[in-house]
Amino acid sequence: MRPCAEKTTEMAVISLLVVLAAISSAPAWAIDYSASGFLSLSAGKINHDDVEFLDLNSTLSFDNDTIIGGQLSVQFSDRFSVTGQVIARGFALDRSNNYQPTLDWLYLTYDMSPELRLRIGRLATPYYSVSEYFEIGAAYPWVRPPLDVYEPAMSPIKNFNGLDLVFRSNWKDWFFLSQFFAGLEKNETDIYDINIHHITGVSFNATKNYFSIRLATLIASVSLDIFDARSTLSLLRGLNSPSESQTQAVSKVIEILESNRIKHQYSSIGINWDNETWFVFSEYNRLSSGEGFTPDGEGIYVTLGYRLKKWTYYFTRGDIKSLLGQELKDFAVGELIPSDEAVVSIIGGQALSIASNNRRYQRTYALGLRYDISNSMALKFEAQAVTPERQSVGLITLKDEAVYQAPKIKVYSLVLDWVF
Amino acid sequence: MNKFVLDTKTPDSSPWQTFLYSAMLILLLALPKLAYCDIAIIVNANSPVSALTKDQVKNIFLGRLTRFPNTNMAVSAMEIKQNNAQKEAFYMAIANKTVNKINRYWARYLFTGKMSPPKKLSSNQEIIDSITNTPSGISYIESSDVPTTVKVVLTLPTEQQQ
Repeated sequence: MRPCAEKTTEMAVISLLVVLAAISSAPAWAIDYSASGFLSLSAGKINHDDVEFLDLNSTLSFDNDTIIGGQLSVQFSDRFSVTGQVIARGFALDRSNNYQPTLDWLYLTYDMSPELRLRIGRLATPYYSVSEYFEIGAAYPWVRPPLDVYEPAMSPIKNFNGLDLVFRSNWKDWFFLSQFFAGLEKNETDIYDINIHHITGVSFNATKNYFSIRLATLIASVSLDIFDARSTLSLLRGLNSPSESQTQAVSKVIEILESNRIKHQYSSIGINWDNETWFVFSEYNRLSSGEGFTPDGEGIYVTLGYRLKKWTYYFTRGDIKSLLGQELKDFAVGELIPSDEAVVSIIGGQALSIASNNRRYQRTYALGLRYDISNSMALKFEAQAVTPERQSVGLITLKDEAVYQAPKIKVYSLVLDWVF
Repeated sequence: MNKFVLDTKTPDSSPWQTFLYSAMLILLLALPKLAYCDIAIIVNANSPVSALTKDQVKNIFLGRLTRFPNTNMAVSAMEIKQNNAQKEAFYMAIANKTVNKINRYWARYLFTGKMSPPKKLSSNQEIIDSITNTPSGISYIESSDVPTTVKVVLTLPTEQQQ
């Protein structure tokens, strides 16, 4: 699936060291600058030979959660600053090479008042609670944020070009952090090309003592080019339809498969309670999209954790339902296949098989352990039991394309997180 | 009777006396440390603020309070860069959090740029100089180090020992 897994970490480490060296030797013109960085080194495997999960298979691999990043912030005055962040990931859906440093953030900050911050440039998309600091492993308990909500297809655009406003406020014992943003973005991955014509959204965070709640909704106009659909599309376009009804059916399927400028809405609610000893982190998200060969889905996770001195123990239970092309399936089942015309029902069969290959139901249980080696370094281990449900493949990738159902698997991951 | 007392016993002293002297010695050694560990929250001498509550200080240092209460003045929080005992004692006293947890809290805001953590300075002297020159400044130092050029708005007795 991914052509570039052979890359070693060397390239990334060298290029980032060069960047960091350049940062630390920055000349005196930098008025007030701060450089920081983060590193996650990972090892992981699954207990099954015939499938893959994320970038993991049955032999130990070191890429899946390995990340290195550096951030430089230059403060020009009390109100103006510029921040840039470069990240190299061991595993990314983007078609860019693994460990290829990418510019994730580059923005100008203007503090309009102590409460109101305006940022313009390249920003991270605040889909869900952890989306914006997904790469900063030291900031959360898990080896990686639960896939039930943080599956790549449910947050396809990590970064966008645009602007945002961040507003801080208080009411009695409550603290509120609100964010409004708008922008656009294009992205290419191994399984689809996605073009976000515009994305706008709002997130709202309220905190009181141990309790916090986050609500967010994002609306995007999206054009999708899913490679799975390409062969069917070209087949359909080349068809010489013998009848009027068949021409209509074919053009309807083409329209669904092309997915031009379809509205996608991402909504989520996250509720956390954390008294520093016990904590509960939970989140629910939902993606609904307009008609087209587009994804719809929902996910939920609940993590219960306990901290004892330098140790954190946690348990996560998560569920995900992700459907691609439900409209196509409905159309195929409802109109194409029941018709008597042989060609139409063949198209229907093909449409149905595309849609069926892309329905994913999955349940996960995970047990994890985090040990804080120092104030800035933590070692984490997680064991997950992943069960695909309803005869689907879940988020598991099958090596044998003739098989449609994935087995239950166990996933073992070890990560060392460091912030510097 | 434990071995320590038996070993240090002299012909003139009973085990009880030895125990008492040892206890007093330990207290004498410990007391100055406890006393020096009080932490003073300091602001600029001309600041309109004369007192703050523990919760207000906590909210300021967690980025949740952007202006001093009952004023229009923006807050410029600063603190020492190193993770030292003074910092541990401060965060334990105001928020019941270790510096480790505070760092974890700020990591997400630092790297997402939504809020800025307190400005980091390299010594208590630098903090004092900066507070003296910054009308909106606020920081914390050990109360024994407070000079007359700054104003104390809250003193936190701490039981943390070095």
